[in-house]
Amino acid sequence: MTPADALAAAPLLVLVGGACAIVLLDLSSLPGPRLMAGLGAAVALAAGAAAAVLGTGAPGFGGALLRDGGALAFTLVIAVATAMSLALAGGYLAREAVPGGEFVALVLLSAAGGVLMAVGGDLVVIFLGLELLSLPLYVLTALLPRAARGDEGALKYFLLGAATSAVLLYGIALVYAATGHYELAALRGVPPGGPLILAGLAFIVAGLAFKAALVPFHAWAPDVYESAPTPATAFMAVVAKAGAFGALLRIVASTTGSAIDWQVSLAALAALTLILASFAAVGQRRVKRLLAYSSIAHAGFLTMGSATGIFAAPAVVFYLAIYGALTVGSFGVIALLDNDDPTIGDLAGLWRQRPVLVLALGVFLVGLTGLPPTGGFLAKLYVFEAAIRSQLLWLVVIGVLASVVSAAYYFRVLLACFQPGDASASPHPAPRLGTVVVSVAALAVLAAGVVPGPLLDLAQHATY
Amino acid sequence: MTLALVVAAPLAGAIFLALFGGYLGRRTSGTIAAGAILVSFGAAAAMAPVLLARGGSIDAPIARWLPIPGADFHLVLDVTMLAVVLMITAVSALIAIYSIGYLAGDRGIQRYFAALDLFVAAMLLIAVASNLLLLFAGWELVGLCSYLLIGHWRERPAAAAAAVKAFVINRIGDAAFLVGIFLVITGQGTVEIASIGQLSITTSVLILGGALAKSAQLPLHTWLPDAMEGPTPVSALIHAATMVTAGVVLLIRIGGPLSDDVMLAAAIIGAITALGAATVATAQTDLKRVLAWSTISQVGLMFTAAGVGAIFAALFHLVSHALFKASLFLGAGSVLHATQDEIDIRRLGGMARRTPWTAAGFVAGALGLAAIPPAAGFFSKEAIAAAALDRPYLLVLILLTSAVSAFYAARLVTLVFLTSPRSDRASSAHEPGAVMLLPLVGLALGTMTLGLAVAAGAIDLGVGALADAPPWLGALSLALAVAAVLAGWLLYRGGPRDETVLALARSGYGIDALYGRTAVPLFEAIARALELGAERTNGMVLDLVARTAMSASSAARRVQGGYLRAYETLLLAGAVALLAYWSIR
Amino acid sequence: MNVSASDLLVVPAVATVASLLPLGRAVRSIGVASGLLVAALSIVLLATPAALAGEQRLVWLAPLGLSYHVGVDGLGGVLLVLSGVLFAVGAAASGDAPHPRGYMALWCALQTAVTGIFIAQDLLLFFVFWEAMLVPLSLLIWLWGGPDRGPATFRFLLYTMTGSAVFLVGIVGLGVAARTFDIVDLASKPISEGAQSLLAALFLAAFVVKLPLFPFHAWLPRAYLAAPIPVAIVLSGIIAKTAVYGIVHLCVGLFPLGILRLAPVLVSLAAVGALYGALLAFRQRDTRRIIAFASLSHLNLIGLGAFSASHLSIEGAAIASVSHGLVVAALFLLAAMLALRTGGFELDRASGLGASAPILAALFTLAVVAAIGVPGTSGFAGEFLILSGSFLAHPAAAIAATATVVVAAAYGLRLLRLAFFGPATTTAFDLRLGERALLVPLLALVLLLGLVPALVTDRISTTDLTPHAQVAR
Repeated sequence: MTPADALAAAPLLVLVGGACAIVLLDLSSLPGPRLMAGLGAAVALAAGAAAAVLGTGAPGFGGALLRDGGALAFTLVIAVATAMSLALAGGYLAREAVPGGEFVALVLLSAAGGVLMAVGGDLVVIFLGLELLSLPLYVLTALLPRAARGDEGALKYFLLGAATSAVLLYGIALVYAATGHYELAALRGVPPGGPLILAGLAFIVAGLAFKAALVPFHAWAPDVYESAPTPATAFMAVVAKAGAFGALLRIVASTTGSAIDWQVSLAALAALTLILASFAAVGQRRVKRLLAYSSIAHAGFLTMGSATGIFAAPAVVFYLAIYGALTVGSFGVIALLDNDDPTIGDLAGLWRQRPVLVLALGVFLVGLTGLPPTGGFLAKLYVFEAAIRSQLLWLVVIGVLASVVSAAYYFRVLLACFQPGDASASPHPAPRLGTVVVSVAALAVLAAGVVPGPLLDLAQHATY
Repeated sequence: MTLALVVAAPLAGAIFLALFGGYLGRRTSGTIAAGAILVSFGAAAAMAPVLLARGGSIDAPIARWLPIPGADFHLVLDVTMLAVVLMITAVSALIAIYSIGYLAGDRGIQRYFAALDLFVAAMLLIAVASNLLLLFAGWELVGLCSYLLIGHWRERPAAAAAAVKAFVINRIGDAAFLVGIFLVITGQGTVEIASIGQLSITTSVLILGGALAKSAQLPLHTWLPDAMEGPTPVSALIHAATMVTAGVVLLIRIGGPLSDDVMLAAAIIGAITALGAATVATAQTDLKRVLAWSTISQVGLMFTAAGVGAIFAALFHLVSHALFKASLFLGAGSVLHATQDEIDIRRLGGMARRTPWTAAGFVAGALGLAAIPPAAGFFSKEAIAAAALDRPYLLVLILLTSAVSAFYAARLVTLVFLTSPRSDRASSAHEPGAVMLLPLVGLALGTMTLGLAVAAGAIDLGVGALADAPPWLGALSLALAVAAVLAGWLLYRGGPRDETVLALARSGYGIDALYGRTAVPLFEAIARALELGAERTNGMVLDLVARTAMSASSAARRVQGGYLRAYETLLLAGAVALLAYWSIR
Repeated sequence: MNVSASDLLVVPAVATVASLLPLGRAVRSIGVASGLLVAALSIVLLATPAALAGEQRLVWLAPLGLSYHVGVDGLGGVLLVLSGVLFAVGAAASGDAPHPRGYMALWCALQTAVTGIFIAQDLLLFFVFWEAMLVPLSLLIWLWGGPDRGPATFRFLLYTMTGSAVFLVGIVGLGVAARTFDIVDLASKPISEGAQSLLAALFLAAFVVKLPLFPFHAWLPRAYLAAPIPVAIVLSGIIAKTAVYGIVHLCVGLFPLGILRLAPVLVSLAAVGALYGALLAFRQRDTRRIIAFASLSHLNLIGLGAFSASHLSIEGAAIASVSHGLVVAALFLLAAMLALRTGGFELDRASGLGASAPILAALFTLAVVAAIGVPGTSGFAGEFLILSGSFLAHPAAAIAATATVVVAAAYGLRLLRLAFFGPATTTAFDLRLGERALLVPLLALVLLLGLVPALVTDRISTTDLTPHAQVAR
C-alpha cells in the first residue's frame, strides 16, 4: 500500500476499524448502548476529520479510490450525518432494548459503504460500496426486537435490494463488455452508444435510483423507513442517498461530452418523484411514513440538481448537506419520543411536554418546506437556479408546486404538536444528548439560512 | 385673510365644540356656535364695501391640497356670492340662537352645535371655493352634516332611516358629480372654476345630476320630506337657507361653462318639479311636510331661473326664499314646541290667538311663499317669471306653481292659526320664549323689508337690477296669488276637509314608493345574489382544490400495496423505460 | 444622524429576541417601542433627498446570485412609517393575549419580515422576506385565533404559497436570464414586451393573492375573522400593502409594458372587486365581516390605482394605502370595543348605544366617515386621486369604481345605525382613556393626511417609476 493509497483509504479505514473495535468491545458487555453510540459517533467524526485534514489529492489504488473535491464533500456529509444519527441513538437503543454494539457497528460499516460509493473510481468499487452500504441496512431494519413488522420490512428490503444489485451488476457487466474497462475515467470520450453501453448505464442508474429511492424505484422506502429503528431510518435516509448521488454524479461527470442525454431522463425521474411523493405524503397519518415520502420528494430535488449537469454539483452538495441536517434532525426528534411509530395525533401536547424539541422540529419542518430564514430555502433556490440555467423551467415549476403541497403536510405535523392533549406524555425525562444534538442541528439550519457562506464555500469545492 | 376667516370661524367653532362642548352648557355651546357664525358674517360684511365699489373678486390662496392643477385651499369671493354668504351666515346665526331654546333639555346638544357650525362652514366653502374639488369637499361635508343633524335624535328609528336615506341619495348625485369632475380634469386640465371653458354635454349632465340630488329635485328628491324627522331648526337650516340651495349656487357659479342645452333641461326639470311638488304640498297633513314639499317646489323655481340664465332672479329668490322659508320653519318649530309636538295640521288650529308672535312671524313667511307684496317673495318670483317670458311653457308652469303655492300657503295658515283648535294640545299652547321668538321675528322683518329694498335699488345684489318686467305680469301674478289665497281661506276656514281626491298627490305621486319597491329591493337582491352565489362558489373552489389534493394523495399511496412483486415489477419497468428512452434518442 | 436601511431591520430583529425576556405582560411594550422606532427612523430616511435612502449594498451569496442590497424609496418609506404605526398599535392592543412572550416574539418576527420587504432592492432578498412573513403570521393566527382558525390558516397558507411559488419561478427565470437579481440593475436592462408581460403575470401571481384582487380573495373573510384583532389589523393594514408595494415597485417598475398590456384585465377585476366587496359588506351582520369585505373593496380600489399605473393613480394608491391602514386599524379596534360592551361581534346583540356611549359613537362615526371617503379625510384624497388618475386610460372601470362610493355609504351608515341608533336595548360604558389613546392618534393622522396629502404624495416622486416606466400620464 503506497502512501497515496493509505491517504485515499483513510476515512474508510477509520470507519471500518472503528466498527471492528466496537464489535470487539461489545463482546465484553461492559459499555451500555449509550456509550457505544457515543463511541460510534466519535469514530464517525474522526473519519470526517481525517478526510478534512487530508483534503484532496491524488487517487489511490490505481484510480480505484479518488480524492477529488466531490469525494471529499460527500465523505464529510456522510461522516457528519452518521455522527449525528449515532449521537441521537443512545437513548433510543436503551429504551427499545436494541443491541447497542451491533447497531453501532452496522451503522459504521454501512457508512463506510456510502463513502466507498462516493469515492469509488471504477464501477466495481461502486458496486462494492453499494453492497457494503446495503447489507448492514437490511439487518438494521430488522433489529427492533419487539416489532414483527421489522422483519417484514427487512425481508422486503433485502429481496428488492438483491434484485437491484443483480440489475446493477448486470449493467456493469454490459458496460465492461462494451468498453473493456471498469474505470469511470475510461467512460470519458466513449463514442455514442451501442445498445450495450446504453443498456448498461440504464441498469446502473436503475440500481442507484433504487438506493436513492426515486420514483418508480421507491416503493420499498415507506415500509422500510417506518419499520426500522428510528435512528437507523435517520441514518439511511441521508447516507444511502449521499452514497447514491455521490456515485451518480461521478458517473454523470464521467460521461459528459458523450451523447448520453442525462438531462431529460434525470429530469423526468425528478419530476415523477416530486409529484408522486408530494401528493402521497399529504394524506399520511403516520409520521415516519410521512417523513419517508418527504425524503423521497427531496431525493427528487437532488435529482433535479443532478439533471442540470455537473456544473451544478455544488448545488447538489449544498442541498444534501442541508437536507442531511433537516432529515436526521426530524427523524431524531421522533427518535427522542417514547412512541416509536407515532401518528400525527400522538403528537398532541408535545409543546407542553418537550418545548425544545418542538421548536427544533419546527425549524426542521420549515426548512423541509423550503421557507426562509432556514437553509432549506437557500438549498432549493440553489437547485432551482441551476435548473433554470439548464432550460429546465418546467421542472422548476413542478418543484415549486411540490414545495407548496409539502407545506400542507409539514405544517400539519407541526401544528399537531400544539394541540391540547397528552398523547405524547412520557414518564421519562428528555434524553439530554439527543436534545442537544437536535438543537445544534436546528441552529445550524437557521445559521445556514442567514450566513451560509462557509457551507457554500465548502460546496464549491465539489469539483470533478 | 378676512375671506379665510369667513370659513375658518365656523370651522373653528365646530372643532372647539366637538372637543370641549361636553364640558359646556347648552347656552354656552349655542352662543359659541352662533358667535362663530356671526364672526363669519362680520368678515363678509367687512369685505362688502370693497367688493361693491370695485367689483371683481377677492382672492385668498391659502395652501396646497391635492396634486391636481387648481385643487388647492383657495378661496374667492365675488359680489354674487357675497349675497349668498351674507344670507347663509345671517340665517344660520339666527337659527343657532333659536336652537338654544328649542333644544332645551336635549342631551346631545354639543354635538348638535358642532355639527351645525361644521354645516355652515361647509356651505360657505361651496360658495367661496375657487375650484371644483374644494367645492366638492364642502358639498360632501354638507351631506355629512345633514346626516348627523337629521339623525340627531338617535333613539328614533325613523330619524335614523331618514338620515341614511338623505346621505345615500345625495351620494348618488355626488358620484355623478365626481365623474363630471374627472371629465373636467381630463378635458380642461384644471379644476379652477375661473379657468374652465365650455363643458361637454356629458360633463354638464353629470354635474347637473349632482345638483339635482343636493337640491332635492326630480328624480332625486325623495330624501327631503323624510328629512323632516330631524329637529325643526335643522329643517330650517337644511331646507331653507343652506343645503338645498347648494345646487342652485353651483348652477350660478358654473352656469357659464355648462352646456346651454343642459341648463335649459335644468330649467325644465326645475319647473316641472316646482309644479308637482306644489301640488303634493297641498295634500300634506303634516305641518313640516307641507314646508318640505314647498321647499322642493321653490328650489325648482330657482333652477328654472338659473337654467335660463337669469342669475339675478335665481339669486334673489335664493335669498328671499331663505328668509321666508326660515320664518315658516321657525314658526312651525314654535308651534310644535308650544303644542308638545302636535304635527298634524288637522288637529291644530287657533294658534293665532294662543301664540300671536309666532303667528305673525309665520304669516310673514306665508306671505313670502304666496308671493304677496310687500314680502320679498313677490319680487323675487316676479323676477323669475320675467326671465321666462320668452319661453311660454315655462312661464305657464311658473305661474301655475305660484298659484298653487299661494293656495297651500293659505290652507296652512288657515288650518293652523285661524280656525279653532281641534285638540287639547292645540288649545293649551303657550308662546315660546324670547330666545326662540326673536330670531323668528328677525327673519320675518327681513322677509318684509328685503323685497322693497332690492326693488327700489337700495340693496344691490350685485348681478344687475331688477329686469324691467312688464307691468301686466306683475298684475297677473298678484291677481292669481290673491285669488288663490282667498280660495284657500274660503275652503278651509271651516276646518279640515275631505281630501281623499288628493291621495295620489299626498304620496308624492308614488315616486318614493316606487323606489322602495324597485331600486332598493333590486340593490338588496344583487347583494344577496352575490353573497350566496359568487362568494360561496369562490369558497368552494378553494376547498375543491384542497379535496383534489387529498384524492391525488390517496391515488399516489395506492401504489404502496405492500406487494413485493408489484415493487419488483415497478423496478424493472423503470429500468426498461430508461433504456428504451435512451435507445430512441 | 446617519441612518441606514439595515437599521430598520435590526430594530425589530432585536425586539424579537428581547421579547423572550421574562417580562410578563409588559412584554408588549417591546412591540410598541419597536414599531414606533421603525416609524421614526423611516421618517428620518424619508427626509433625505436621495432617491434610495440609507442604501447599502453587499455581495452576500455569490454562487446564488444573492446580494444584500437595501434602500428606502418614497413609497417604501411611506409604507414603512405605516407599518411601524400599525405594529405599535397592534402590540398595544395585544394586552390580553395568553403566552405573551411567544406572541410578541412572533409579532416582532413578523415585523422584521414586513420591514425587509419594503427595503429590499434585490429580487431574491425581496422573496426571502416575502416568504418569511408566512411562518409567524400563520402561527399567530393558528395559535391565538378564534374558532375556525385551523382551516382558515391552512387555506390562507396554501393559497399564498401557491402564488409565491409562481412568483419564485418568475424571479429565478428573470434573474438567471439577466444574470442579476438586483432590482436597480434590472431596471436599466431592456426586456422585450412579450417577456415583460409573461414576467409581470408570474410576479403578479403572488401579489394578486396577497392583496387580494377579486376573485382571488376566498381566503380573506375566514382569515380576517379567525385572526385575533391585532393580527387582523396588521394583516389588513400593512401586509396587504406589501402586495401593493410589490405591484408598484416590481411590476410597474420593471415591467411597465407588460403591465400596460395586462392592465385592461387587471383594472376590470379591480373595479369589479371594489363594487363586489362593498355590496357584500352591506349584507353582513358581524362587524368583522363588514370590515373584511369593506377592506376587500378598498384594497381592490387601491389595486385599481396601482394597475392603472399613471402617476396620479399611483400617488392615490399610496395615500389610499396609508389611509386604509389607519382606518382599518381604527375600525377593528372600535369593533373590538363594541363587542366588549355587547358581548360579541354580531350587530343584532344590542342597539341604541349612542345614548350611553357617545364618544364611542363619535369616534366610530369618524372612522366610518373616513372609510367611505368623505373629503377632509385621507380616504377621500386616496380615492379621488386613484379614480381621476385611472379615468383617462380606463374610464369604464373608473366609473364602475366610483359607484362604490354610494354602496360604501350604504354599508357604512348601516353599521352605525345598527349599533348606535334606535331605542337603547342596553347601556354600555363609554371609551376609557386607554382605548381613546389608541384611537385618537390613528384618526388624527387620517385627518392630517386628508388635509395635507402632500406629506405622502410628495414622496412618491417620478424616480419611483423608473425611466422606462412612464406608462400613462
